[in-house]
Amino acid sequence: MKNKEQKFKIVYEQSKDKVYRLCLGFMGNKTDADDLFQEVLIKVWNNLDAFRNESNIDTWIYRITTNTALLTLNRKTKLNKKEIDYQTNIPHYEIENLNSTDKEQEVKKLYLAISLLKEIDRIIIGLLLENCSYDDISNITGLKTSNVGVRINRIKKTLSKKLK
Amino acid sequence: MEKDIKNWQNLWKEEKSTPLDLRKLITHLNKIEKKGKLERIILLVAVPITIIVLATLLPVLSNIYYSISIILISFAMMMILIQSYRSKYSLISNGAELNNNKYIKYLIHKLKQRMLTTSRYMWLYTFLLVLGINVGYIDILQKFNISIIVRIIIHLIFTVLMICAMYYSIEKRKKENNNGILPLIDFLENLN
Repeated sequence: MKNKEQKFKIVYEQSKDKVYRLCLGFMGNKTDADDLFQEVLIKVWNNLDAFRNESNIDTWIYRITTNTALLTLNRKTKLNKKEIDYQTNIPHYEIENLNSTDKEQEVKKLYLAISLLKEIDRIIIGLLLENCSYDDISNITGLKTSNVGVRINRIKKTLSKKLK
Repeated sequence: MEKDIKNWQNLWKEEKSTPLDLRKLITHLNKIEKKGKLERIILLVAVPITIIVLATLLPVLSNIYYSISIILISFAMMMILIQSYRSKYSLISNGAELNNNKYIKYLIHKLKQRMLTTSRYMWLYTFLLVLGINVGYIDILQKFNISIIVRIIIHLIFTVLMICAMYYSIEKRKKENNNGILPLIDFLENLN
């Protein structure tokens, strides 16, 4: 058990911010991102014994994060279908917060724009912004590398439009 | 465009996770793990233990009709429990092993399996339950010294009542599935 705890601490310290950003980009608001983040940590803990050291830890943890995100969204859709329908018009962030700096506003705008993309596109752009290669993204999403490239171009155009 | 990406990357990395008390978190995770293990053990051993206790304690099991009845009902319950267990617990490891595409397909498969439990396994369960209870009643009715026709009628009435009750329950669950699971399957199929 001690060994598992040590392993978990290392994984947590290495990946906490990357995982949290993916959660936030996917869910679009901090409350849901925190819930998802916690769920990912539980999954990481539960699967840690099965993790083989020869695999890439980042790819492994991104898989857990993105699959948990899809599962959570799936569950949210089931539980709050009506709620989600009307929530689409509610801004995920309070962009007009008077206390935030210009940079903070820009960060919020970016996350908001990403959270409005299609689910798989949110995962792809999140992974790209975490410096994942096309091959890694293909490995995590299960899309062909060429398809990843095409989708990234499309996502870039959409995001540029939304952020202007 | 590359400049945009660099800029987005810088903005993206501005967000950081809220610091957590790692010691507390690990204690909490250990608790969840233990609770999960306990739940699984209870689910897995509860039915066999109940059967063993019944078999040892109840003298009625010396009667062949009652024995067959208990075996049939236990088998039906085990079948449903195993189905529920499989759909509840196998998601954990697959989330780490499968890519998103395969995971979505896997989720769809699981949801369809859950629908199958209602439509197919519940009817099989009903069949075994009705059969088991009827076999048990053969001996009970023999003791009342009534004609074979009356006994058959009692069996038939009981069977029809049971089937009607189960039909109502299965249809209700099917309706819930259609409202809850079908849109989910549709949603997952459209994710890619």
